[in-house]
Amino acid sequence: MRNRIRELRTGKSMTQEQLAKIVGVRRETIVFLEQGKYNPSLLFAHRVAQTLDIAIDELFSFEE
Amino acid sequence: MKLKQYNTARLVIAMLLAAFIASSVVRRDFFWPVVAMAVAILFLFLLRSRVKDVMADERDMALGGAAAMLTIKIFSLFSVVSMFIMFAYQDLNPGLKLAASVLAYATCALMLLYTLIFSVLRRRSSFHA
Repeated sequence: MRNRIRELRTGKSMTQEQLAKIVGVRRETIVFLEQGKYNPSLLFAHRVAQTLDIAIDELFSFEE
Repeated sequence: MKLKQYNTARLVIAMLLAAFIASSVVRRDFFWPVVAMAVAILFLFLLRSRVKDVMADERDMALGGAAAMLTIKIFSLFSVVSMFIMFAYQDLNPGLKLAASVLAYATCALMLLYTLIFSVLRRRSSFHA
């Protein structure tokens, strides 16, 4: 699963630490999420999408 | 309080507690170590409540669950093999029989507890790692 979290986060001049604090996770989780090494729960994905002001399906994309 | 400070405090308390318990066992005092453990646990709960950082998130819970399952599998296998070896050599050393029995009951208790907690959590519709 790919995502645009880093692109959107940096576009909003937000650090990983700041994003982690807003969505209620540790910075390491954001790091793994951006690298595509962690598949978030629906609730977590929704919180991230809401923070970055974008729909979930535009934030995450599945590769077959 | 920052998470790093809490982890340092937890390490120091663990070391002090371990030293106190070790010295108490040598002096054959078994009451004060229990009191010390209770105090340490309460103190750590108090410190933990003051930590503003996120201590464990969903990824930690998921990893913890997977780690716990794998640990139980490895420990169960190791303990069963060790138990049989100890029972086989109990004639050489009578203490081996006691050790094997304790290991067997401890492993059974661990697996029963795991099964019980798993059943309870599976029934909870609101459970979320």
